Amino acid sequence: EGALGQGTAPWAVSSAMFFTRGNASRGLHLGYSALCNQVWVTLANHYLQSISIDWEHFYLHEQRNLTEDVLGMQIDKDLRQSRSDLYGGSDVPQFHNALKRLLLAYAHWNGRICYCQGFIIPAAVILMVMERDEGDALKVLVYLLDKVLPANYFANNLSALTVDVAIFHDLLKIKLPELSQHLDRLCTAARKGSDERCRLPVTSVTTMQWFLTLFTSCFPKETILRVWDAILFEGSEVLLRVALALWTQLGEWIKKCQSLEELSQWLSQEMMETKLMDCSELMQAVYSMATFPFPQVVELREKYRLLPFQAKVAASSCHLKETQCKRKGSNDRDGGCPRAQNPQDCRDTARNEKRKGNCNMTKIVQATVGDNVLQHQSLYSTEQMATHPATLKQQYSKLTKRQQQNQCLTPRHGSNDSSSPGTPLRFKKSKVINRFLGGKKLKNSSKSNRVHHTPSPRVHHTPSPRVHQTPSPRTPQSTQKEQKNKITVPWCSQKRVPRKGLTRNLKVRSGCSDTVGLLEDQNDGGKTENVKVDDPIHIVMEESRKSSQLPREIETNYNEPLAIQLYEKEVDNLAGVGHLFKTLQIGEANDSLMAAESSNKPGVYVCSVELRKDQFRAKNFTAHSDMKTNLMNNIPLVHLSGKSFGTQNLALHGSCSNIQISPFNK
Amino acid sequence: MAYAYLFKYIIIGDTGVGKSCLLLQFTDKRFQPVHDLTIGVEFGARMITIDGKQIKLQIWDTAGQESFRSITRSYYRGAAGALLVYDITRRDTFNHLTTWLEDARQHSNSNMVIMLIGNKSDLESRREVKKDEGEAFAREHGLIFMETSAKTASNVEEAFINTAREIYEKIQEGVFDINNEANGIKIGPQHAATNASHSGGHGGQQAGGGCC
Repeated sequence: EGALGQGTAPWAVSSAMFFTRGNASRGLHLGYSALCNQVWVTLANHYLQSISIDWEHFYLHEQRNLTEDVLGMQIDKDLRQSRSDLYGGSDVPQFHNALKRLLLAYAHWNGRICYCQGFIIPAAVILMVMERDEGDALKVLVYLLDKVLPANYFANNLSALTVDVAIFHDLLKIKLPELSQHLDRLCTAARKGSDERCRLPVTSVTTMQWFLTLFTSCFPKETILRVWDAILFEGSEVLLRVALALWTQLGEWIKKCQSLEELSQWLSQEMMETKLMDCSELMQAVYSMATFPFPQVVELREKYRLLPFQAKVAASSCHLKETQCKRKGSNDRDGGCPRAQNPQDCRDTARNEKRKGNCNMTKIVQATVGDNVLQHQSLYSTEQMATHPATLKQQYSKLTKRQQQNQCLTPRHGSNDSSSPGTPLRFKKSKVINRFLGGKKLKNSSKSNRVHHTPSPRVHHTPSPRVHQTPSPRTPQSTQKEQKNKITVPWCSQKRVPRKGLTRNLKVRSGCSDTVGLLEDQNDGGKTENVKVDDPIHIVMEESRKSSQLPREIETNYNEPLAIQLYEKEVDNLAGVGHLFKTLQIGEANDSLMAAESSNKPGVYVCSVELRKDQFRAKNFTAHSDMKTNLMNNIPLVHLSGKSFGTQNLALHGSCSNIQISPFNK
Repeated sequence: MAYAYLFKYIIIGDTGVGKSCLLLQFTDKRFQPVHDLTIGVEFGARMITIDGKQIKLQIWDTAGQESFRSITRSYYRGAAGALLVYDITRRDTFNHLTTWLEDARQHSNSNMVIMLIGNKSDLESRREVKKDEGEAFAREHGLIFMETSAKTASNVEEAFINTAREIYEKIQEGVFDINNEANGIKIGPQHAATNASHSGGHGGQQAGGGCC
């Protein structure tokens, strides 16, 4: 029992009780499902509250727009082929109908992930646990897919999932060296091939299957529930823990296999039919194998995070975030403004950002194999670094000109108390802000046009006029209209939540998007490259868990590319961004130079906000930081077709109006 | 079990065309009308004989859904043969062949033998793609073509075996570098021993080594 109650969440008590009860009543799992029901829904509700979604509105009104279409037919077909009926009880057809509605509703909710065959069974399990309450089931599914699992786990070519598999491969080496060596010996021949990319280790194939189905493919119901409890409580690292526990168990048998073929055969046929592990033993192993968060997982995620794909920092790996925060936070504090940073640091970090930008699947696959990844990256990064600062400079000077043309800005005075709870969002400010959008030309307007005319049927369902707010040239008047319209959107994040955490969140968001924009920009091809940033929502949720909130915010807001530009520019421009940083609580407000500058240039702050946004567009930022960010900004965006990523740029407008600009007082 | 060669295959094609059923029919000689969805990748294996040589086919069955495309891509390169499957009762699965083929060509080694398969030939009444069209497509793109039925097992053996024969011939011609495993071919572990012990040993022209 010592392994229980590891969760430090507010619900830790219930969590501990939960597991204790589960352990104590081995075999008496009758009530377990009911408990899951309550706890999962509570978790999901908590999440939905934290992102200030008018869920009822979505669920009651948006759902009506769901129609039978190609996706519906596909789901029908898949359901027949799935084993979801195992969870359906007596009346399977009804269960299938409910399941189909659930999957369609999720696809509608999150157009980016939409639907993946991988989550039929997970959805079926949830529906079963929720006793077919589709509303609750949808909430839990949203919580699971949007929040608990790393972003892009089921989207963007399953990139986060692939990363997790790669991480697991490394983890196996660390934690089960003997087994890993044995597997390597079996794979030796396979590795002789000159092309490493084709050598997906057989362990990865199996592990990937587990991850794709969230272990529903290899466990009986009761074990699934226990495992999922842990996942929903402790975060996605539990996936890795469970996989590790399973391989530990399998190891005994695997060691008897003498060849890769034998192993493959055995894995594919025997394993799925064997009852792999006793449920309680498994959970005991999962909880006792390491502290939360799993130190090695944290390290590995960090490692892969710096690789070209955006490995997702899982919800659970707060430790990682903290470490980063401390590092970057201290940098910021030392200087008080980004300029004071060591330029080499800036470049180095920018290079890392570059690497992240170079996200394509081939490399991810290479990484999955775990070979030669770093070499590849360094090649790419040095190539592209050459043009990077020059481009940035150019853009920056353009933007500076625009800034100068727009000096009629709201004067800035007041303190940095932008996080004060209860401060209402000031939409009037956005009018000023959006002046900058007037006449703004995109580098790649074709892209935005395409977005603008996206023939996605979902666009029509969208009640929000934001669909039309592509970052295309516009007049200030039209911008104002749109701003007004935005306010009337009934159920998106315009709900004014005076919670401290949330207001911080809104600020944090703009910082996130910035980096993301620059990252995305470097992605080759117009593919659906989605970059996850640390989830601001998670930050809010964690407030109760962690006292060190500020460093994390600093981390999230800090923007290296911007810092580089700043480094290249004159002091007066720096001042503006410095204020922004201060306002966003990034740097300390103790830089006297900055303070002096700011008094002379009252409107610069707004400029800099706009500057950051303009940069996205100017650089053809096909954007969106993350579903979660979008959810906060603007729910209707969620309904846009997964392909029209540019439209999600619109979220920027949302964030533009949502940002607290409280230091500005008329 | 000893084998002379191991060929790695990959089965690709749209979701629901019958990839897994083909594999099941080939490996287990049975048909499962409602087959479980393939999530990710699965594999099967079977021994066949070509020219008196034992050849092991290791077959990777992939998920057809678009989301899994990136995962399946990573299996192309290690394959010596690919079965590109469409459903003769669904025109769209035929229309997507070009995409699949591009994908396969791009990510595989250039010598990979690709067999085009029009599956579900037992459902003649619901046919949407004529046999001629399949043949024409195959001719145009230099593929081998066959219509099969995983349900009735018609042509299933042939499809796998003909592909293996093609690969085998390419090995004989020296097109494939059998020592490079990236080609999806592996020399059996006991191949040398087999040759020595078998009275009618089938030519010892293969280079040794390269085994695990």
